[in-house]
Amino acid sequence: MFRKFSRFQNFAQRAMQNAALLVVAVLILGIGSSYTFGQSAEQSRKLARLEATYLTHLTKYIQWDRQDTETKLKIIVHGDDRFKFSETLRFAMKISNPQTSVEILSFSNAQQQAALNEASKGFNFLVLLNNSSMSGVPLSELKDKGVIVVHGQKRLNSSPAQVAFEYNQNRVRMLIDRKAIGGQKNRISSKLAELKSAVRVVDK
Amino acid sequence: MRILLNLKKQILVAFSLFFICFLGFADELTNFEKAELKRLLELDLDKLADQPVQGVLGYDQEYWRNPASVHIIRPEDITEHGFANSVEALRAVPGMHVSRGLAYDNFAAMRNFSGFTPQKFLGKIGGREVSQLMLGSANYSVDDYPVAVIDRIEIVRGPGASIWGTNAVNGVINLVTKHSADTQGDSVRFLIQDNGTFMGDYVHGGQVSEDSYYRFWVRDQEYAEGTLDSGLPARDDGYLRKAGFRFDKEFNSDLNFYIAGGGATRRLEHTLDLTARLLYQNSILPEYPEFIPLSYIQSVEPFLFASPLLSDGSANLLQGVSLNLPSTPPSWSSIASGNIYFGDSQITRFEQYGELTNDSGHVVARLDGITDSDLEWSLTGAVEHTEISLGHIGFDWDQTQFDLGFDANRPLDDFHRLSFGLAARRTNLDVRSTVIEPFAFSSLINPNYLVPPSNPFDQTSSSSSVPVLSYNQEFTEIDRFTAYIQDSISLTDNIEVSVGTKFEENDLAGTGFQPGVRASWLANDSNVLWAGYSKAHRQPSLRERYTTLTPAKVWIPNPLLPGGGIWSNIQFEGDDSLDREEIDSFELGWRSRPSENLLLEISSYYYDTKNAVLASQTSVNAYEAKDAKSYGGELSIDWDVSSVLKIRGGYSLARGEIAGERNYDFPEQTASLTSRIAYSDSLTLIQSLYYSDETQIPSDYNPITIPSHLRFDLGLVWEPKDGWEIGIFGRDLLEPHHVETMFPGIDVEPARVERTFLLSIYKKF
Repeated sequence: MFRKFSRFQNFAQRAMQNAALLVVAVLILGIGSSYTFGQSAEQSRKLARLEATYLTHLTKYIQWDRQDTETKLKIIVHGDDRFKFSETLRFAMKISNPQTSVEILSFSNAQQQAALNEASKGFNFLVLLNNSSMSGVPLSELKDKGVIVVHGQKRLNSSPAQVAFEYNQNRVRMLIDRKAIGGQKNRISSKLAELKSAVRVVDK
Repeated sequence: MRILLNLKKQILVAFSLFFICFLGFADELTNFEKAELKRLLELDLDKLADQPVQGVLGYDQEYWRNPASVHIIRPEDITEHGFANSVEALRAVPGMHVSRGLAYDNFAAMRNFSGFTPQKFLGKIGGREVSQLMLGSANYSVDDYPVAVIDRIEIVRGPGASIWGTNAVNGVINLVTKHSADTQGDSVRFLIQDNGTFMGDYVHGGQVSEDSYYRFWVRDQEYAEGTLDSGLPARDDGYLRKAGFRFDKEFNSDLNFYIAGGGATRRLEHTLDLTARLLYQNSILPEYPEFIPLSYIQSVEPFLFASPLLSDGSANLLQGVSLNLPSTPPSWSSIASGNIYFGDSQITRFEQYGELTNDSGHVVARLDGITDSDLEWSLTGAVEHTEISLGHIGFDWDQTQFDLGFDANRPLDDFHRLSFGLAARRTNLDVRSTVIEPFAFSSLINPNYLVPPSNPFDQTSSSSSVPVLSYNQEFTEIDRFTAYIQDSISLTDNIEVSVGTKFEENDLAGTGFQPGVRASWLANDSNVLWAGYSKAHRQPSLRERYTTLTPAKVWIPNPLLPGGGIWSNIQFEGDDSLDREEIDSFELGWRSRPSENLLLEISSYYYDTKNAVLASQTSVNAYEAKDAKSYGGELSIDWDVSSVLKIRGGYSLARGEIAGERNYDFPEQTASLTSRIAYSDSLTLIQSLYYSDETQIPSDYNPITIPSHLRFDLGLVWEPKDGWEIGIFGRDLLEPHHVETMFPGIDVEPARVERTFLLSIYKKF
């Protein structure tokens, strides 16, 4: 009886010690990380990889107005690219479309005018990063020049963009303006609408 | 002195080169990122939405910063090598030892002290834990799936108990099946070996509605007869027939459901060598051992029972005594076809054949979803029923398991992701023993054969129903409850840590915590260092705890007794005081990608195990708990040299000490090297070499040493059109046959692993 009691006591003591150690470790690591750093670069990079992969797939679902898109794609990226989105997209395009020459032009927020000038000449994709400052009338004027890609449904609704990336529930999905599917300019294939887990068609 | 200086110089250069690897970060995409992008680009567009952005360390085995030693097997790794079962593909995994003891089964062990029958890793197949509590192992042939429905097999080396739970001692094997939507249409696979072994499976998948899919499959495997090491026929021909289904439904983008099930039936014969299971206790022939096979005694009976004097001139007390032997079945002589040498003489060998049957069925259902607050959750329930009969030793059991589990993970903030879960398992057992024909005669009921009962004439002290294996019927309901919590922490941009523990209340392993801490450090663009500490528990198998083994009967001559003696039993009782095994593991690893096409990995481990359940020093058939230590590591290389040539190789070193003495039941060194040469878009040549060091298989009956062996396989795969694969394979080409393993203890002779040629035809989805 005493032995059993003593075993239970030992067990309880060990359990308390283990639990206490775990809580302390989690708290120390947690507090340390939250105070020391601003955001998770790894998650941002993963977002960049997933978005680049989406875009690489998307090129195959668009009937481009530009004549030379069989052999040449022009992609403009605007915003402060801290997580190597342009580089990621360049590599993904190169692997996925080795026969196609892909020109990726990256402009920071400070180079907005240069980006607008370049975009006014025409493009396949104009990708506005999450922190891109481009908006308003200048952006509206680019609507028919190519496919504009933004982040979040809110920005999709408030801009002339046809495509957006949505980060929700720890997943990345693509939002497509219904008018862009089967539209007059840069027609996006209706097949995309069938991929419901990855693509959501929205009415702006 | 000069040699010493040279050595110092070499060490200095080696260290310098090592640390140069860790210098600097580049602004360009890292090789790890490039490789990850290639993987993402191979996914269908709709699969991109399955990729979590914030991960749980330990769940995503393909994540390059995962602080664990991981190997992934793809379906093509199975078909391009002509493997019939997925377990065969484990042969190329560093740290794993796959061996074939019979024509129809491969056995898998991981790292060290895997033991034999009781595996010390956790097996998960199609979302459920597969384990027969009786022997503490899974039957991977019976639980296997057609390759067309396999998504991948994850092999995690090292304890991962804080997420995986009990028995994840030396590692985890997790076979993941595909969603039904990914198996639409028809797929067929045929394999036929030159010895007649055949396997065919068919999978059909279809769509029920816009968001619901199904598949069903059937498989037939017909085994040709193998040959025992001695040249005797193994008589193990038979069949394994299986069928299964899966239905998936997406209720909405946040809620998914699937139900899957399957059934299998297997019929084979299995042999038990009885040559030396009826023994004579020798106390009068000093030049002979204490126990002599009865058949040998019978051959010298004219001398032993007729001569008035023994060889040393002393009086023969047995003169004139008539042995009242139980009648031996007449069929023995008809099946005896080999000889065993015993001293200068030879005795005829007897084999007992019996049917080995396995019938099983299971259903598993899972509901999973994600909430607006990013809580990812799943609720899984499973029921499994298995009926196994070991006819050759007269031991049957039915096992029914009910599982219910809840798993979830959610972010605490951008740097923390908390995973947690609860699970319960109930196992019901119905165990039966029957006495096989040669042992069905009266013998003493006494575990200790050396101590005769006080009154041997008492009828109650003898029984004619002492089976080879008997089970303690008090333990037929076994419960297990588990709960775990783990935090995955992005400590800095380059350091990720996971801290967690599992709590478990288990009828077989007691109550306890199994904590683990793991961390990975992205040292630079192409190098990751990781380390881990884990505590893990392994529950003793029911065989180890609650069964009594009677592998032999012994005739104790006693002229004072009627019949000239008495039959007794040699028995080994299970040890119900065997505690759970507790392992403290320390691991260190280095993952390097010098280029996007080359991956090098080194992992090392040190395990300190308390209460390791092992064969006792007095008998392999008895178990006892000992403290054991093991250490080792694995080196692997995965190199796409060009679009034509791919190389995959691995080497592992595993050393173990039990109570201070080196142990050799696991090969100390194994290695594999596979090259894949794509001659054209449709023609591929695959060459594989597998090396395994010598192993020593303990047995009271017939311990053997398995010599080191080198296996060379060659395969040619032709893809006449998209989705079709026709392969011709040659296996074990270096020698006509060799031996790879043996059941220790009651089962005896291993079967030959023979050189085989195989034709495979595979139509993919």
